[in-house]
Amino acid sequence: MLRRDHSLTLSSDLSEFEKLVDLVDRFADAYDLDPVTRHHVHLAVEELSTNAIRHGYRNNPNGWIRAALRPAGDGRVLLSFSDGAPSFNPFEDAPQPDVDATLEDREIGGLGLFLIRELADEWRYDRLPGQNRVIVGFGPDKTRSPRKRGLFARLFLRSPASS
Amino acid sequence: MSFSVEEREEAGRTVFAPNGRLDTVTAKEFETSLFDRIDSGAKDVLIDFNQIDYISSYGLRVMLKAAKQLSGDDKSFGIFGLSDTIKNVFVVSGFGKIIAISDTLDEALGVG
Repeated sequence: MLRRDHSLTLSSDLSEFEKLVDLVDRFADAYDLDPVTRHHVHLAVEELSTNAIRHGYRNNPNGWIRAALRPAGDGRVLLSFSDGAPSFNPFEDAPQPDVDATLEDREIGGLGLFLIRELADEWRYDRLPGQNRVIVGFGPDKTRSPRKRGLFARLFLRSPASS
Repeated sequence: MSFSVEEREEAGRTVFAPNGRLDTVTAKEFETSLFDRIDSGAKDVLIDFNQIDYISSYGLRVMLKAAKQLSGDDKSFGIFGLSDTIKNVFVVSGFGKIIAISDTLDEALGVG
């Protein structure tokens, strides 16, 4: 595999999940991602893929999902995730968890897509012909280096601060 | 994917120490062993996170389920030894207020 080609297209089947874990690990090793960014990229890939498979495709394994990772300079990472399931904007169409609920009232579930929004620097959703596409930008770990945004992100991604 | 879980007793508590990732596949495995013990009578449970380097919403869901099941007068649930990254995921999820999170085992046992 070429060093810069960190992408994978899989069927919508959770038994393929480990291949996505491997993809992120290989990318993180190749670009020496800091531990926080590595964790959050893993999380975004897992939450987007399990959501697409369980909810988008309703566990029908005959669909497809695709994840592609690329460096965006200054230790930043862009994840592009797409699927062929019915139209769904993970940042607006998903119910929001009540993070202030008491233990008794807190409902189990609904956290995955919420966490991506909270932990990512930028995100964007587009409905393209026949597919959902999400782009999420992460890192670098802001506890280690000053926050710098890549030009791509400034031009094309919506930042949480301006939404 | 490598995942294992060890179980030990500490001062009357059942301590589970999972090792590896708590993701959509492995957290399900962990859920089974944890709830087997809870269903067979473990009332005071602690989870040791020292060997966990990743958690997703599925892992969080298992922790919330255990905390709910072990709430009440004669039961207890807590977690300790989280990395800063994983602790941040718990806090962002709103679990910092509803699950007892300690830095060390001693602190979790109330002797720290």
